[in-house]
Amino acid sequence: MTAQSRHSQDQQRFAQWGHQHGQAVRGYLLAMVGRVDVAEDLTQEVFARAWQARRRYREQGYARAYLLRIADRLVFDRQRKAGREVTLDEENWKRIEPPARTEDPSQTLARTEAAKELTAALEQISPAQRRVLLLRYYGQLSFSEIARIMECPISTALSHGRRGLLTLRKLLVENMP
Amino acid sequence: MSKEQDQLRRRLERATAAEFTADELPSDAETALLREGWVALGQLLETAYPAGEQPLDLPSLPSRKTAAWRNPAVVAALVASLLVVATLAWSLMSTDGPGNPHQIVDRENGTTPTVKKESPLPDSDTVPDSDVPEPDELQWDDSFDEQLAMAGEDVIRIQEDWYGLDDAFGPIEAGLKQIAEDIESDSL
Repeated sequence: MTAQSRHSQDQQRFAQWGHQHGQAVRGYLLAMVGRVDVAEDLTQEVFARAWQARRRYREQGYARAYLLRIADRLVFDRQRKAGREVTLDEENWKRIEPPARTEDPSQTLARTEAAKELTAALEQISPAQRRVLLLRYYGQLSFSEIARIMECPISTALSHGRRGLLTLRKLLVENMP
Repeated sequence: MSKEQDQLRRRLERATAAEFTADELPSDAETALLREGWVALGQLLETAYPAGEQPLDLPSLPSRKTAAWRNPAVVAALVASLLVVATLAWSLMSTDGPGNPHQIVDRENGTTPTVKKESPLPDSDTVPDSDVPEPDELQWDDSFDEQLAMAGEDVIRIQEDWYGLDDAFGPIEAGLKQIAEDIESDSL
């Protein structure tokens, strides 16, 4: 195989990754950072890093887990640099709404309310619990894969998952009017 | 993994499964509670950040760089430079006449001439650091191609230096020619 054809194959695979996993990566990032602009930038960064490290990927396996691992590292680095959790306050929420979008006002309202409720709920669980649940939701990863990404024992990942879900249930189901 | 951990893993995997068929209804109270929390979270995520709403713009990929050594102009420059270097080496080794500007003959002793070699290669120590390109991580990392490309660039640089050297000798040669003509025409 020539270098040219190998490059072309890499590009095809990269495009396929974007199509198959791009939304999941962006969704994870959006739920983690709570800001559209930051999530978009980080999504670009995830794919740029995946492209740089594409040679190393060949010996691994599951593409979505690989991309979410990169995404998780980026969020972790960002939060560590910021020194605090990024939350979606009223000011940040305005950024979620692209001004040019034509959307049914009722849908916009529902989305706004859901995002607020979601942010409030996610703030009530620990960052580790959030990571476990969002990696499971967007990546559909097994708990052992999640533990590997988080570099913790599987028992810890399971414990985070259980506690996070019970807390969310209490907030979102029990406390519903 | 202990039995309890394995049980918790199964429970969580069932509660957080993407699809939940009727056969897989929660068999115990805790799984049912976990499932309720999971469904509530999923509904909120779907509503707040609906998937597939906007096309994903991936970063533009670096295109495959054509290796410089594959460029015919670079190949021609390489061949020409080799010929120039070979000619220069041959002339230095075989000619000891007065026309050779690279030779200094000790006329008093009349012995072995000292050859002063002038290499067209620039001294690597004198190359400023700013000429060294910054490594670009996004570029194609085929080191063999990169080395060949760098060799091609070096050849071009050598050739340019050689032409520069040629220009420097031009006025001297012209002056000597003029003197020879003046001697022949007895105008001096």
